[in-house]
Order: sequence, then C-alpha cells, then structure tokens
Amino acid sequence: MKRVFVTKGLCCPNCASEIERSIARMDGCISAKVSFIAQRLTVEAHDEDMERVVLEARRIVRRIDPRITLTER
Amino acid sequence: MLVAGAVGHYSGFSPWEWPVILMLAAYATVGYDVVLGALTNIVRMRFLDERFLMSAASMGALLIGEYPEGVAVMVFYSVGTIMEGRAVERARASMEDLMDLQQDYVNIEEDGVLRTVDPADVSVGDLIVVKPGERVPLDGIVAEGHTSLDTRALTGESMPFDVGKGDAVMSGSVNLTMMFRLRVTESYGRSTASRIVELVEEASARKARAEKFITRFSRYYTPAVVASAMALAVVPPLLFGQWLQWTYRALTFLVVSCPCALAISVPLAFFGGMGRASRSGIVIKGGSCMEALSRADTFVFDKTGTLTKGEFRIRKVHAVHSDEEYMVEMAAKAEYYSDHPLSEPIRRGFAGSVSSDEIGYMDSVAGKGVVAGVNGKTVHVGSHRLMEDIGAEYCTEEVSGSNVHVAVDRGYLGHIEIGDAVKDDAASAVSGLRACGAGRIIMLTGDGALAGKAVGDAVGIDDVRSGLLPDGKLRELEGIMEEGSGTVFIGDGMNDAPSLIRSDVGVAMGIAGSDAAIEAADIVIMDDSPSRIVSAVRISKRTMRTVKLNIAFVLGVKFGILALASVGMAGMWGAVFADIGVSAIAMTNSIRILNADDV
Repeated sequence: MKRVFVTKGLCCPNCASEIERSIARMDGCISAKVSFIAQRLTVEAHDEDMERVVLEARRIVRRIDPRITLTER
Repeated sequence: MLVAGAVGHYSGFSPWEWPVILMLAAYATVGYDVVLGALTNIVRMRFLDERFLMSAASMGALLIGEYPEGVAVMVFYSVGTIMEGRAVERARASMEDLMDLQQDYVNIEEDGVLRTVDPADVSVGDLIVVKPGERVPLDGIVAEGHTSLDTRALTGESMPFDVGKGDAVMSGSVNLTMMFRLRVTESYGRSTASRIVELVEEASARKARAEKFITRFSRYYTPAVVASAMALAVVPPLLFGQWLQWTYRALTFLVVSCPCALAISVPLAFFGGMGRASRSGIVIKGGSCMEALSRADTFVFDKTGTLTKGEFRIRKVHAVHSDEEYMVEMAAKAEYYSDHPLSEPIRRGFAGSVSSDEIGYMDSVAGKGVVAGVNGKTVHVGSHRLMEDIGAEYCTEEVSGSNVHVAVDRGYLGHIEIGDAVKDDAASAVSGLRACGAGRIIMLTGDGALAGKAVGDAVGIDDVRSGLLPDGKLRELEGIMEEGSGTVFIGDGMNDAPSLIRSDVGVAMGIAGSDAAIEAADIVIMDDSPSRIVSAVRISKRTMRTVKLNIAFVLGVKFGILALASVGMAGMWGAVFADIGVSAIAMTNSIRILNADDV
C-alpha cells in the first residue's frame, strides 16, 4: 500500500534526500520517495505497518525540518 | 531587508563606526531566519546544513572584522534562496498546468434541470452533459450532439477535432463549441485524465544515475570541504602564523561548501525535460528512462498497431472469374454471421445492405473459412485450403496481406486481399530516428514474411523479423539486446508487456492501450503517432546535455574557487558567486528545456 503526502515548506534537496533515506531505513517501510520538485513524499508499506510508519515518518520530517507540513493527498 | 543590506554594504567600505552598526542591523534583518534555523539545527545535532554553513561563514567574517563580506554572504544567500524558490516554483507551476486535466464536477440532467455532482459518484453507463468550455470529466461515447474537442493536453495534437454521435471521447479534452451528452464508459479513477495524472505524479520517482551520483556526491562533498576548511584554519598558521588571513580563507571554503546548487539543478533539468515531453503528449517515467533513451542506439518496433493502424480493410479485390462488386457482395453476405476477424473488413467493404432473409445457413469450417447459403447459392469464403477441399481451382498469386478466396456453387470467383494500413507518420518516425543517430531499427511481427516486408518497405525498415510468436518476439528482442548498447522497444499490444519490461527502454503507444502495457513501459505516448518517439529522443538528449553541462559548470567553478581561495587569490565575493551565482545560472539553464520549441 502506498500513501502520498504533499510536503509543503520542503526547501532544500538535501533535506529531501535525508528525509527519504531516514524513512526508507525504518522497519516495515518498503520504500520511501521524496521528490523535492514535485513536493511529494510517497511512503510504501504493508497495510499492517502503515499507521506506525506514517507516524514515525511525520516525526522524522519534523526533526529534519520543523517548517515542513505534511498533508495527505 | 535588501535595502538595509545594500546601505550597510555600500557605506561599509570605510571602517567607521556607524556603518558597522548599520551593517550589523542589515545582517540581523536578512540573517535572522537563517541563523535561527542554524541554531535549531545545532540543537538537533544536525550540522553541515546550508543555513549552518552560511551562518558560520558570515559570523566568522564579522568576527575577524570583514564586515562587508560577512553581510554580503548573508544578503546574497537570502536573495539566492528566494531566486531558487522562484525557479523551482515556476517549473512546478508549469508542470501542474499540464496536469490540470481533471474536472472536479460533472453535469447531470435530472427532470430537465442540470445539476453538478462529484465525478466519483457517476457510474459507467450514466448520461452526462458537457458544456462548451468545460473539460470532459470522464471517458465516454457521444450520445447526443456534436462538437469540436481540443485534446492538446492529452496528446500534444494542437488541431481540434470534431466528434459526433457514437464517437469515443477521452476525459481531459476540452469541449470547444457545443454542448453535448456523453454516455460514460469508464469510472473516474479509470478514466484517461486520472490515469495520466497518476503516471506523471509517479514519474519523478525513477531517478537517473546522474541524480543518484549528485545526491551521493553532495553527501561527501560538504563534510570534506568543511574538514579542509578547518584544516586550513589551523594547520598553515601553526607553521607560518598569520591566523587572520588563514581564517578568512577557511571561511571562504565554508561558503563554497554548500551542495545545493548541484542538488537542485540536476533534478530540475530532468523535471524540465519531463514537463517538455508531456507538452508533446509523452509521459517519461523519470530521469533514469531519459538517461537510457538518450543513450540507446537500437530501436525495435512492433508492427501491428505501432507502425500500422491495426485496422484491417480490403486492400485489393482480385476478381478472376467474376466482377469485383458481385464477388465482394457474395463474400459479405456469406460472412454475415461470422465473427472471424477477417470477416469484418469484408462486410465493411460491401456498400449495399444485407438482410438476414437472404442468408439460408452458415457454417464455419475451423481454420479454413465459412460456407453459407446465400439466395439459394452455396458460397465458400476462406483460405486456399477451403478451396482445395471443394476442388475449386484457385489463384496461387502471393499477396502481402491476408488472402481470402471466394467460390460460388464451387466455382472459383477470385480472392480478396485484406491488409493493415501503415500509419501516416510511421515513415517519418523511422527517418527521424535515423537522423538523431539510431544505429539499428528493427521491426518484429507475428505476420508472414511478405506482409512484414511490405510494411518494412513502406516505412523504411529493412531489418524485418517476421513470423514470430509472442514468446518468439521476446527471444528475438533478447538476441538484439546482446548486440546493441541500449535497446528501445516500441509496442502497443496486450502481449507486449514482457518485451516492454525486458528492453532497456519500453515505449507504450496510446493511453487507450492496455493497463499492463502502460504499467510496464518506461515511456507512454498518449496518442498513436510513432513520430512522437523522435521528440522523446530529442528531448532526452537535450536534457542529458543540460545535466552534464550543469554538473561540469558547477563543479568546475566550485573547485576553481576552492583552489584559488586556498592560496588566497579568491575572496568571499568569489565564493558567494560560486555558490549562489552558479546555482542561479544552473537552474535557469535547467528550466530552459521546459519551453524549448526546437525539439
């Protein structure tokens, strides 16, 4: 299952790749993609892990740059 | 912010006290946000972020008394960030324009009154109303009325085209002239517009090697430059003294160490290329596909539906013992109840009408044809084997299309040649590919050698591999791939998905094509024109040129300034240029593709 978020306020491609790496490393996360240009975060995980992964992903985003707001599409 | 900075900056050339205060004020206004960001990052144990580097460099400069430099770093950094944001925003906005295909409401008529509903609530088979000026919200068939449609956003075709009752309409086209009613054939999620938007959104996910290289590079670049800055600040002065001078050089290093110029300009170029492609009705699923396409030297076309229209019609009537009209009439009547693919073009080829009273009976003879009673006569229509069975002496002339023989009361009349028409732009697609450097162009087909050669001759491909079964196509493709450095497969069909996946770049023709093919492909061409592949190649080559140029330019300037700075020949001004200036130039270069007209 995939969920897509708009990453409003994501302002530098380095943060984007750092967010991508940190989320993808997480247990239960199949893949994570952050497109700086499209301002999108796509998280893929098994249904049963999804809630936890998204929660943790939000925490990671906040840690890396608190100015980013995530809204689900 | 800027004005204060500029005032501070200009008055700063004489080291009196009041300009210093002014400059510090300017610094505080422009740098407030940046320094704050840097501080929060330090709290989170994240150093080496660009705000941290800029704050460190500029404050260092202020501390050693280089006021104008310190302020300039901050001012230009802030201005540069704003410019960066603008450039990215522009690229994104033009991409979103392209993706603005979905209409978020549907008109439904109830008791003579129009009301609007959510497109997701409309089901297949419903009747909806599309007014002039609106986008068609769902795929369907015109049930009533006629109009002109603009499909530019879908196919890149700028000529409006007319539709009337019974014609299929794709969602995302714009209704130009008249109100019409549409019978919905696809639900919202499965309609063309939604599928395109989905494709484009997923597109940026596949990163090119150049992108990955840049991401990896910037991960090591920044720490390395910062480490050498620290070394520069400590080691040489221990040997030669002159602490202040070496500190200044080290701070210059910090300014250059920001990786952002690279990290933005490269994906931005790919994004620009993809945006430009979708303006021509081509969806490229990411930088990696572009990279592969720009390098490919072998193009393999599937024949039916890709180079040809995939519509069979009567090509020629060879009336041996009869007149043409009578022969086609008898064949069409005999095939009246047949569902064989070749029966349809024969029925269409007969201009008169057929009533079911005329047909007494019809039997199919498996793999050979049909026998039917037409107006009391026995008509045999089918292959030469059927003619052999009834002992009719048939014409043995070889034809490039499919051959259908006709006999009435066991007397041979002649044969009808049925074939597929070559697409109008197929030949220009092939010559266009040759012009942009395609080494080998090959056509694969399941049809016989003669049919294959006829199409090959018409479009200008002499390497034709015919008589291939679906799995034979894949094996043939694998053989071809061993010889070339990059192989593109262009197909449309249901059974092309394995070849689309296996090839280095799979191109699926037609958004109306099968889901499996579109999913498997790296590039999707919205309409059915094979010549779009030439645009795709040109755009990819152009994008790759821009990417390489940007990488070379950015790295060249950065390392150049680093080298000069380490021996004291470049000051902080040069460093600011190497960071922000280079970044702005590279980005402007990147988004030029988006509006290029010559590809």
